[in-house]
Amino acid sequence: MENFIWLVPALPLLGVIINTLLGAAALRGSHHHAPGDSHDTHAADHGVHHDNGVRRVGWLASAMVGLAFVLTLVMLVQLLGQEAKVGEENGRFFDITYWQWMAAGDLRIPFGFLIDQLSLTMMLLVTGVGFLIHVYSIGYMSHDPRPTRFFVYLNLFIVAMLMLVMGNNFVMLFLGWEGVGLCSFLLIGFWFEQRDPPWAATKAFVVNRIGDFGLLMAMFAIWGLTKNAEGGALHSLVFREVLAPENVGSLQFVQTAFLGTQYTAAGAIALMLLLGVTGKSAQIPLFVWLPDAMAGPTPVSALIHAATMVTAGVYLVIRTAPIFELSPSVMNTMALVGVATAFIAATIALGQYDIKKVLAYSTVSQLGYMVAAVGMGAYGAGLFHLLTHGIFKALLFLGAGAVIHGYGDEQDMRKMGGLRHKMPRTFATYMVGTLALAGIAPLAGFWSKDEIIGHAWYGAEGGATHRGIAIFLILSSMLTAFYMARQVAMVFFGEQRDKSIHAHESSPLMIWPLIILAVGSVLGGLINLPGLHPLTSWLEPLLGEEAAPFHVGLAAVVMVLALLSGWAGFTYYRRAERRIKATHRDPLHRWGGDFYAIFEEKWGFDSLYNAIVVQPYKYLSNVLGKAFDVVIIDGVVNGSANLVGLTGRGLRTFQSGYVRSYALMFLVGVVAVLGYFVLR
Amino acid sequence: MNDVSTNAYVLLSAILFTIGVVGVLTRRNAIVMFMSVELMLNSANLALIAFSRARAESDGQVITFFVIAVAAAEVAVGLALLVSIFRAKQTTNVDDVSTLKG
Amino acid sequence: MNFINQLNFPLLSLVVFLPSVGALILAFMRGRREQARVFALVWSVLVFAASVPLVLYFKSDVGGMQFYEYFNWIESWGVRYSLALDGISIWLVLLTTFMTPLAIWSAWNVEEGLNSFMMLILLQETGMLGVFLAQDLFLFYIFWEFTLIPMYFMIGMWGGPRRIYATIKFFIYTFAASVFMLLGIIALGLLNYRFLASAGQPTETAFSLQSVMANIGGFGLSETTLKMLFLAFFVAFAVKIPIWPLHTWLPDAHVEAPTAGSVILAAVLLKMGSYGMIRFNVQLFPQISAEWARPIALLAVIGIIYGAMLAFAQTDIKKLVAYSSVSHMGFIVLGIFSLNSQGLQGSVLQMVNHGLSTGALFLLVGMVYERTHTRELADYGGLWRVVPVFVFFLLFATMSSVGLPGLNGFVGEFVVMVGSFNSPIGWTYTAVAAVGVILAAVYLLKMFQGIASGPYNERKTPHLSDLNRREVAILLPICALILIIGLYPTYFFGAMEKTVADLVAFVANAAPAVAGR
Repeated sequence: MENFIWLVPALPLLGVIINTLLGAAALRGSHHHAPGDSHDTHAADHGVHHDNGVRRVGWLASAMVGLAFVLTLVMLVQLLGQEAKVGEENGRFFDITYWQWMAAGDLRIPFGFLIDQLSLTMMLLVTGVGFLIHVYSIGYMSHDPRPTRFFVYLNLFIVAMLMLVMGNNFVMLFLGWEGVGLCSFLLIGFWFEQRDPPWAATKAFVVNRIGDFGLLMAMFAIWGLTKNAEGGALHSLVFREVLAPENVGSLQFVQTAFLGTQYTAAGAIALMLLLGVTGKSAQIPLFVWLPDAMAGPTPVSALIHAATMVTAGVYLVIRTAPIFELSPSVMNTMALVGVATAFIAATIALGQYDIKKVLAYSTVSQLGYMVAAVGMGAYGAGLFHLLTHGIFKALLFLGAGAVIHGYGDEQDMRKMGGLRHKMPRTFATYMVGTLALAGIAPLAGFWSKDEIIGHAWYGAEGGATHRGIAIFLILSSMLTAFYMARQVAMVFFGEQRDKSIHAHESSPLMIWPLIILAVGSVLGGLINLPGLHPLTSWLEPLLGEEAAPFHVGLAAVVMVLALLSGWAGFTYYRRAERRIKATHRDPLHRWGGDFYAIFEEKWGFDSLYNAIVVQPYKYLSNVLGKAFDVVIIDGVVNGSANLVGLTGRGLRTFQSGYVRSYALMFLVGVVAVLGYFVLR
Repeated sequence: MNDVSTNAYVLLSAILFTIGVVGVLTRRNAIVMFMSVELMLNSANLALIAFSRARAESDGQVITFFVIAVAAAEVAVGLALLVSIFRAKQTTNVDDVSTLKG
Repeated sequence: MNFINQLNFPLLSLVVFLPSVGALILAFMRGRREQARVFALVWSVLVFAASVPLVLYFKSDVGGMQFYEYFNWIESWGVRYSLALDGISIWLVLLTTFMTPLAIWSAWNVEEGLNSFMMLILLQETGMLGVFLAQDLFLFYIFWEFTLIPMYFMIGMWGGPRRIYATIKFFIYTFAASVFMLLGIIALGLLNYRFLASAGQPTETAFSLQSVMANIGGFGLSETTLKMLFLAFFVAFAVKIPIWPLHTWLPDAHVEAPTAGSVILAAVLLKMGSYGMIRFNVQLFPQISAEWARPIALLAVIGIIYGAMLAFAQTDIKKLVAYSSVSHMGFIVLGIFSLNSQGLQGSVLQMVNHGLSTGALFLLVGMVYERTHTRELADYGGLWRVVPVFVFFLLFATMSSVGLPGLNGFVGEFVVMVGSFNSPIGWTYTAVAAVGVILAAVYLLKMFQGIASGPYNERKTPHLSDLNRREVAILLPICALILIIGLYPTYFFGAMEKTVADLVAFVANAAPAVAGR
């Protein structure tokens, strides 16, 4: 089997190539539409069905991802057949190098894959959920003028994401890391004729790049500072070499000073990695790109901005856990970042009217749970939540996509209402997702969220407790139930508020993925059911983490609180239904007042960054470009040229053309020279 | 014949030279300037011959021949130029010929 | 002529002068426009073909110069005609012979004086190849200055409205800086002559680079003199690269230059500066290079950030790309003065990378300018729908320039920064350089989105047609190389590995303070 590992990313890549070539051929075959052609505007012409080839390219792309999923399953069986031992002797992995990617001096970066419990788990999520979303997209993009391009990007994303989780060294991870960033950029900006998507795409790419800066610096430091057991430079970025206990420990003993504070190299590296995590996984302070990224098509939001790409940060932390373990203070910071993000994003979700924005902030919030979990050292719980969230959030986004698709591309929840009759299947599956997200037993979200909260409240075996974090996580969980209840009430219950829109249920192609994901959301808890803990024991050889006991009391309290909060939200918005109008603010604004305004304003992060980063940068660039460079630097250059010119102009008055003045000058010169020699 | 002292020759040469210089600087007529230049050349010749006699060596006299030859050539070229300028501009006033200014 | 190589044939001289022969033949093809441009293209492809054996027969496991060929030219001064190449210059030679046919092909539709234009490009190629191959200081200087002349005419005669200002600035700026180098070369040549004469050795190699390198320790120069000589070379190269704050000729020259001129300027001419820095500053003055590595690196990182900010402030696409060169060349300088394997190998590869990606960007800007006659970013928008093939290539080149892993730009920048991080330059400057990587995304995506996305501006950019076959054929080889270098740079690193390792060891030997790091 290990000889075929390369096929997993190669299949989607093949999809990219074939579909690109088909697209190029189609482009040459038919002269492209003249500018302004009505076909070419974004899928506004619903009902007018023209063959845009979506089925051909879509099924091809989906098949590639589906095959990759099957291969991954085969690989899972294979790995299960290998012997697993805790720690060093863990036999469940393939580490394959295909070629030397970069080699300069003693820098050696292999192009290779590492398949172990962690990457395989991620691969299953990526290809599995990826496949369903591909299929869903065939329906969703059926009216779009450019389906080929869409599926090429989507397949390319799968390739990059697989590189990210399969890479056997940091640079391979970074290849995927930036690759998914590119695909995210392309897909957010997919409807490029509109005003917002291109801007959101650029914002996402640039903000992610800030995180990538951290990852880059971390890689440089890891390569330069890690020492091997003999104390010599290790000079490696391969996971299994760098993260081996005898090597990674050396990072603790290198000190570096920055701004008057001493850091261990491990701390500095962990901090830089954390910056990368906050970028990719949309944590404070870099979460601002994710909500804007909703400008892309909804399947993209489901796949990239909920289920897979944004979890890359959590994956990175789990992968590089040995480095983080060396720096408790960075771990604490990470836990705090996570919980703060979870709470703040949950409050912001309360103040959103766009159906996708609510889910976007919900995603940020849930990612906060995961980051808090791994920050507390609960890697298994973090990964568990990553998986269940990947399933039910994909479900929710796809459900929201079905709503948008069947409701005339309207996204404002204030214009919706009563859709449960028009879209019964969408409604049913959406409710499953909602309950799972709200953490209601026995759905998937309950188990994974509870494991995190339980870990925070009781601490690991013999480890510290994080009661403060636990309280805020519980509060966020209540908020989660509340905003989801609000959303469900506004979208599916009551009367349809905008009667002009014809609402209809989506095609089976879109519903089936919803149903499969709904089943997954119900059964997802089995992945790591208390008592059995399949996930934890699967990961144990890698992480050395033992299954945590299940705390029934805490779980019950958390769930009851969530239920109460959800019930409160639901009844409130059902009663306040008359006051929900597209032109009005939320009814909650009445008694939430200024607090609610803060939520609506997203706590001012965007305006803050705009004021302290974006505008100053623009201003400074313009000053440098339009004044400094032209006036000062070029001024010196042209000034010295002008000086030469001026000197010449002065001297040229001597060249008068009058022979007698030349003769006089000659005389003066001769007298001066003679005089010098005589009087010397 | 009384010996004329070398000093006297040199003094005469200096006077002739000064006349030549003043002539070049003050006169505008190209022909007069030419004559002044010739005067300066010949004053230099005179000095050379005087020193040559005083030192009883022939080098100075040899150089004088060279100078005379060069002066002749220069006059030939110079007068040719003058004639062509006169033909073009109807003047021998050097101040009217200042087109080569920078 | 004597030559020492595996082929028993003076291949380097052939490669260097073949383009000039082509130019000469072109001179007899006046008035036959169609044949002339086909001839120029075929001829330049021939030159490329002639340069391929250099790679095939290059022995990457042997350090030092290969394909050496020479004869005594001005024997009484100790000036030799001598050419050779090593792992540092080999890819630059190939880059030159690779980009020239593409530049010629991109100039297919030059309206007036096509013959002369093609001649100039070919002459330019001779000059550039000579610079990369000359092993004699005097010969180097001749080729160095020679490269100015065709470029001067290319910009001055086929350039934009402010071409006179731009050419004069370009010429005088670089020429004035080169005069310092001439002084340095004369000084080194004379000192070496004296040294050889006093040691009783033959003086015919007085100006030869190898000889100067071997003997410079024996000149008995004071440190101040050495520093003056270092600076004399440094200024000439710094202007060419250009290093901040000596960069202002570049945007003007680029904006006014015709497309082919811009491509050659960005792809190859700038590399002469960085190549010279390795060849002369580092090889001849290792200890001063080590001592001044940090100050120079500071200029480099200022250039990275400054170039990025200025690129962001531009509204003219071509100017934006020009300033991006300032930013990207900063990485190359940073790598050179890391003085370790990663830094030097990375920067040599980055020279090639920058040549390809910025060359591609200039080609693309030129192609779209040919259709729209505007370079204002604000006039563009929505081209993704109208000319998708163009935008595909633009995206590819942009991403290469942004430094996306998997493409060439990332490899170069990554390896350079690994080098600088682990050199005395240290992590602070490297961090600033890495910020430049963020900013690269800012300005390049601003450009890309400004052209490709948003509503289509039919009034300003009417009747756009997508790239034709010729244009696609020009861009495809570049993109292929971008991808190949991005995924398998080991091959390219392999050829320079030994040379650079020797150089690093040499520097470490000469400046032991650095060796400890």
